[in-house]
Amino acid sequence: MLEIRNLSVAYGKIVAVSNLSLTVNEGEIVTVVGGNGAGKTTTLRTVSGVLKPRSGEILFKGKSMVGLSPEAIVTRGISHSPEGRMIFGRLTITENLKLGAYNRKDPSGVKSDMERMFGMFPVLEQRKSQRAGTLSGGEQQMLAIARSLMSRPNLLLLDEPSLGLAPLLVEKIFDVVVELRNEGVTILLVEQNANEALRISDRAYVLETGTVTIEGPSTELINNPMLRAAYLGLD
Amino acid sequence: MTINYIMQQLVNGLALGSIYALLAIGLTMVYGILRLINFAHGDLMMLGAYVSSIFISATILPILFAVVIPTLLMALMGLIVERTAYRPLRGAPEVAMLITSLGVSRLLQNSTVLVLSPQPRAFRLPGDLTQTMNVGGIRFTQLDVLTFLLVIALMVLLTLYINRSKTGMAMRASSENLRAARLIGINVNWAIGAAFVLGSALAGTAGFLWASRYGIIDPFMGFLPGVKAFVAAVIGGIGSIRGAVAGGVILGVAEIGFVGFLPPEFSGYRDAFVFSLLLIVLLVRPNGLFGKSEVERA
Amino acid sequence: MKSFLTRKNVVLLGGIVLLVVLLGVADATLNNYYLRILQLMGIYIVLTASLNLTNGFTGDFSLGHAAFMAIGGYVSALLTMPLAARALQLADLPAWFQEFAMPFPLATVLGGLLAALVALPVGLVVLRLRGHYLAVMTLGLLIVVKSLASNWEPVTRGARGLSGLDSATTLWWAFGWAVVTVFVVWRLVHSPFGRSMIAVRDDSVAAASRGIYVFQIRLIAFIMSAFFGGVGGALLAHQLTAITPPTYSFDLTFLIVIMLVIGGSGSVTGSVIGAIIMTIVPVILRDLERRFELPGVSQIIIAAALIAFMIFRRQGLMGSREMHPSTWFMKKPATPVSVDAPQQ
Ligand SMILES: Nc1ncnc2c1ncn2[C@@H]1O[C@H](COP(=O)(O)OP(=O)(O)OP(=O)(O)O)[C@@H](O)[C@H]1O
Ligand SMILES: [Mg+2]
Repeated sequence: MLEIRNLSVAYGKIVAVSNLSLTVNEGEIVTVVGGNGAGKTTTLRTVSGVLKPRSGEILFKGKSMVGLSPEAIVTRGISHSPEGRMIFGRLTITENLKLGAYNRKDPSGVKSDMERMFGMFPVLEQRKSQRAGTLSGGEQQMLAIARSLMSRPNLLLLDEPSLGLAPLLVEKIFDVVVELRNEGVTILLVEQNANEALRISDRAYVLETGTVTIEGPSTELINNPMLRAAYLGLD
Repeated sequence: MTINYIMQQLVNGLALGSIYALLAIGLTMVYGILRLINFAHGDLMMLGAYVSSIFISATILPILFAVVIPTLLMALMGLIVERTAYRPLRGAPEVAMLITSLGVSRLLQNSTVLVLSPQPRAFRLPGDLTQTMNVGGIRFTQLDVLTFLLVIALMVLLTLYINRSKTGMAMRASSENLRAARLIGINVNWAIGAAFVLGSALAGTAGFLWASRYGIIDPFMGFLPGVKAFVAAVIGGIGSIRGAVAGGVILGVAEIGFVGFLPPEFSGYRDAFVFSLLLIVLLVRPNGLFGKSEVERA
Repeated sequence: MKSFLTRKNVVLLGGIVLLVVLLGVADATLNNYYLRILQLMGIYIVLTASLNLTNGFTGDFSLGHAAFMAIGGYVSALLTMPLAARALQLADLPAWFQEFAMPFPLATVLGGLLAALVALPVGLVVLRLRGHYLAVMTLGLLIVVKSLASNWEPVTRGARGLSGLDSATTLWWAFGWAVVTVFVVWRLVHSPFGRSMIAVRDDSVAAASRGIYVFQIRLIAFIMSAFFGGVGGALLAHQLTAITPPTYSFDLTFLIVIMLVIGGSGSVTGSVIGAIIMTIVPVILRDLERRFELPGVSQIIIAAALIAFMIFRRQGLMGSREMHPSTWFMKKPATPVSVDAPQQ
């Protein structure tokens, strides 16, 4: 579904991603792990069209996404739940969700999706007309995911959804991710919480200084001794 | 000093403050999203005043035309300025945008000089508008009444638009976090364009009000009111429309009070006074009197 | 001796000799009109090079340069004003003031010093702000100074201004100060202090964490900039021989900003080039404007050029590079020759 070929991205002179290739097939959960500054966020932001690649190809459903505006990419079915949540704290929860559906032209569909989100995250419904800034960190993360689902994506990019959450909430978030996949959303998941992420994902990539160093089925990577030492905090 | 005199000054202060408020709204919307001090904003008011001066001598419904046409034309003008001068600078450092807006300001002023004349010209209201009324000893003109009604109506409409419409929602989101807005697929260029269109329209209205209050217009009349309106926006808490309105009114009343209640030899320092006010606010309450603290923004 | 006769110093000396010869020739051959343009060029170099300290090097975008110029201008004018003119214009001032006229060079320096003195408390307050707010507050300073000039009748004579000054700003003084300013700014920028300035501009948080006294650096740059601003204002006053509040207007600040932006903020030679170009171009444009009776056109062209620069060549002509005359005469392209190579 998503194919990244030899992608390079730079901030001015700082090259953040170089020659990265990565594939996500339909229906998969694919995890990307890597240390701080490895280029994970940069990769996702480039897929979303916020950053322009220096070179390389990004194909989605066989079509090139390079050079399209972020809103065009959202319209084509890629949605991004950003690192640090980036919800709009001064807007209400309902407004945040509506903005997730900004490019949709089917009001009734948006409405029923909103109900669906409230079903999935009841806490959001209880507080739907409050400012999003009043939500707790975990609730904000759920709002961020819900907001990104409001565009009805085929592919969901999740950047560190478990960051800074208590273990119980982390569980909940990963449950949601699995549930989404079961509903047919393909997921590209960036996680520092590699253990959990590998457990629920089909395949995984390890990024180091902007390029892929290890890739394979998640079950294999969980047992990879190098990885265990570096990212899983085991041994 | 009688109570009537005080009320009189208050009316004048509110009238001036309403104009600052109209200008400050446009500045605060644009600053909120782009972090751009649009130094050319006051010059749109100047252009609005010139357009208004053409229609004020119309034989039918002069006031209606003199208000509506500059408002619409300046909306268009704001969009043109945004597309041609500011959009190419998206992502550029703050200072580059600031310098550009100074350039735009100069361009508008001197284009007016070229096309019309550097000389001031008179702006004559139809007689009945300047007639004074006397209610309980406080004298005010129909123009004062028109000013207040117009400003209140525009603010209500704008607030409704910003709070209820989809574009308004996008503008608020962009103002809070432009990068996030882009990332989730909001058409931020549309939101930015809307901020310029709405703000510039209000500057056009302000052009009519300013010209009718002072009776004289010239190509350089807009710059200082524009800067002062920015001061007002900062005093009220930049980025917030309510703050811009409050800041505008406070500044107008304070400025008129400064001139009206201090000995006459101080009146030459009124502009200096405005900036001292800004300095105090910035040092004591950097987020403005009604601004949200950064924490609250989450 | 050996260390003095480096290629760099030879070129520098040669450059100064060449400048002296050129100025001598100009002084002897040009008529008043052209001489005045050249004098202005020298003054603008002083102003642009000094504004570069804040706007270019520490990244504190000031719109208040004309405020310091006004201070330098008024102070020096008061000090040098011929006694006859003084008795006529400033009769309200105390007797001791009526009895001395200071020589122009000393008055220029004092004008600069007073501007610097004012910059100290002003800087202590406004430099707590950054970015846009700083720009607006320095614009505010200009407005405050202008209000003072317009209203402090006994000293400034308000809107009538001070007139009858000696026409003391010769080509030599203008360019003498230009050379001094450029030299001082250059040495400053290429010293450890200068590297700190650039570090502050590029990332003040990182600079602070490396133990750089961010605020002090910015304050010193602001004060130095004000000193030369005051000197430039004094030079301008004694070129015009009469000053009024509009002499030091926002237009003047804006012109200096344009010079700096077009030359390249962050480059000393860039600021000089910007000043030279933007002295000459407006003269030509104004000439055309008059000939074709198109008022405002010169300003329109300059404003449009400024916008175009911002869109297409934001870093100005020079960016933050320097022009090294000492490398012009070398065969190979120079690798950074000395400590003077700009640090990126
Ligand atoms: N806006 C930026 N400007 C300059 N450099 C940046 C910018 N954003 C990221 N970088 C640099 O690019 C590199 C990759 O950053 P990126 O945010 O993609 O890493 P990451 O893998 O997401 O790290 P983390 O796990 O900490 O989120 C880093 O060296 C970072 O410093
Ligand atoms: Mg990241």
